[in-house]
Amino acid sequence: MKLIIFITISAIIVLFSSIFNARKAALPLTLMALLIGLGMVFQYNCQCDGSFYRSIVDEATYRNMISFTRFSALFSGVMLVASILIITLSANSIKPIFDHYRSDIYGLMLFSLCGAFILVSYQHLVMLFLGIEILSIPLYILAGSRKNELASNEAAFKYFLMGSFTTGVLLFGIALIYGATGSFDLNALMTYCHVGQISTMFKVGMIMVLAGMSFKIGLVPFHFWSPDVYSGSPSVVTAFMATVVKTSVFGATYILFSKVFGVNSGWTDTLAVIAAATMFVGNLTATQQSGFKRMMAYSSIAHAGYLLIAMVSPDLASGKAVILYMAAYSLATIGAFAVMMAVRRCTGSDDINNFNGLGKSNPVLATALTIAMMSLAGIPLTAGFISKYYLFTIGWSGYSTLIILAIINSAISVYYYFKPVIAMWFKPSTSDIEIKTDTSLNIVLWVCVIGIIAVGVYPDLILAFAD
Amino acid sequence: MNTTSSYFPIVMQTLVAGGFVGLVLTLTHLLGPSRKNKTKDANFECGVESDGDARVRFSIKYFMTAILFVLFDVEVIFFYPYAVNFKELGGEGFLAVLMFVSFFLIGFFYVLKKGALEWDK
Amino acid sequence: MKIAIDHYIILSTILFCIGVLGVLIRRNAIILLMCIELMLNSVNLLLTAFSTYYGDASGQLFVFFIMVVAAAEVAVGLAILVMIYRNTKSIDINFLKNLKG
Repeated sequence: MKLIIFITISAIIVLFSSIFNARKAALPLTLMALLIGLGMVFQYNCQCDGSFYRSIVDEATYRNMISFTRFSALFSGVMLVASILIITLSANSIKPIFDHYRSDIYGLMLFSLCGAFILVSYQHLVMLFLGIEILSIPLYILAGSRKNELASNEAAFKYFLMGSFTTGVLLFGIALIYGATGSFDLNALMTYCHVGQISTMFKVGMIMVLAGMSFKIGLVPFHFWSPDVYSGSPSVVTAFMATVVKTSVFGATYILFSKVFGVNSGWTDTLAVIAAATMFVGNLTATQQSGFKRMMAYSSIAHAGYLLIAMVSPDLASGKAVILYMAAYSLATIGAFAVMMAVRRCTGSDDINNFNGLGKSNPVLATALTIAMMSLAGIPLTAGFISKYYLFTIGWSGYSTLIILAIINSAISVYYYFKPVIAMWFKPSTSDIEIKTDTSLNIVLWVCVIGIIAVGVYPDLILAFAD
Repeated sequence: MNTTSSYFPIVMQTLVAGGFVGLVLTLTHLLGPSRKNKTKDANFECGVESDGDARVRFSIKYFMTAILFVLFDVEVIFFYPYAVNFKELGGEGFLAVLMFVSFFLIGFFYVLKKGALEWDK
Repeated sequence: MKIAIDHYIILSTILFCIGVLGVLIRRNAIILLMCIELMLNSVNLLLTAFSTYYGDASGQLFVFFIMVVAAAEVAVGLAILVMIYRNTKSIDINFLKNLKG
């Protein structure tokens, strides 16, 4: 909870740095705030021993609105690391004409992050709603932060329209749940589910809440907005959406389903079907894409499908698997986006053909992208492999058919993840534009590559925090 | 008490109100003389001939002010529950509201400094 | 004479459906915003009705939050719309067709 307050206050300070003509200070201030936040998460994680889901602070202090557990601390940690990498990445990638808004962009990102923290630690449905809104409203603005580009405008409006429509559906669901149970508190909902008859109104409400969450995560059949929004938004914002937003809303869904329904409930069948559909749609459509950003958008849909396996598995350790998976996925996605941004900045588009011959002209970038892609596809010795392995073994005891489908899907995904890799190493360069990088981009690339390999070889690096 | 017949007065009222309006409209239509020509059908605007489109674009400044008004206006809603429970909440509640108002003022200060409310620029 | 809770549920469901249909059918961006507001307000009605039904104030507090957040959301939405109008001189949502592939 202190973490949320701290990040809010630093967001305000960053926002005000432009007023006091200290725009240059925005970036260091943001990074410092995020690093201190990471320190606080470490401290939280050391403080608690025992259950994964027991609140660290006394819940009554915050009137049972928020319960900051170890689960939330670890999720916040993953999101903080992702935001630090993304903000470092943005240091030189914001175009000079937009430098005027730099502090606004960082401030909005920090506000959005606050919403993300609320989403992984809510205990009351009001906080779920507020978390989703605090997360989304700054993102609508960020998606449209390139004011003069039509694609960015379009992405912002699409995201806004879909987002607020979803909020309506989610709220109607919450209202029906309130009508059935008379309470917004998750513990009361749990009692309601385990004692006595579950009314139809509650079930309808739950389906609507699930639909609302699926929109934000991008689960089939509510995924259609995400490729458009991902490809239209500025790359830094897309990277933020693909990692932080996905992690937090997934965490919120996980909390809702695991806390309210327990592990073995009638919902697992529904979720398993959604998981299978999401994987297939994401992977099969990704094979058709020629633009890198659109391909990554479909890839993120497919990864959400794999993650749903954790929700249908009866194992209590599935929370750990989600955290490991999210960490691996975020590192690889940010690494891939960093390379794409370098290519896009120099060639002007993110078409996969623009990666041709990168292996010869800039082997460092090409190697980094290859490792990131291998991790996303789940090739051994990378973080992606170990996290998939961990997730699938945990899911095996629940729905073994689903795991077999997931393995088939991983095989399909190798095809499109290796498209840019083949383009880089085996195709001749089509143009003689030199792809240049800068220091901040190189730092991010190194951190991502070292992180992917280190976690891939020695997964206890992350799992140790969860034990 | 809650039977169909208890709604009868409402039905009567609706019928009378609707019937009266319908009757008067039909009567004026039937009784009044009807002369149609171009001058008669033209818009009347203080005797001056109407000119141009009614959809005049107005300045973006109105938009900013309107949006900011909506935001700050709606925030006042949170004072209502505080006002109702003013006595019970005591000092702690006062501190909470003070914090809320200060956040509010920070936002207002930001708007002022960004120059969103400057009229002649 | 007391109106049963079912009537409120039916009324707000109808309002919600009108809002959803409007978002799906209409082409004018301003009207889309209005339809989304209608959806949110039908939720407000439902929450208030349930709140009275249970004699529990938390539902009405939720309504306050929804109203404030909806105002913030619409402010951002209108700002995005103004930005689009400056670039395209139109608020018809047909401009939402460039990002495809």
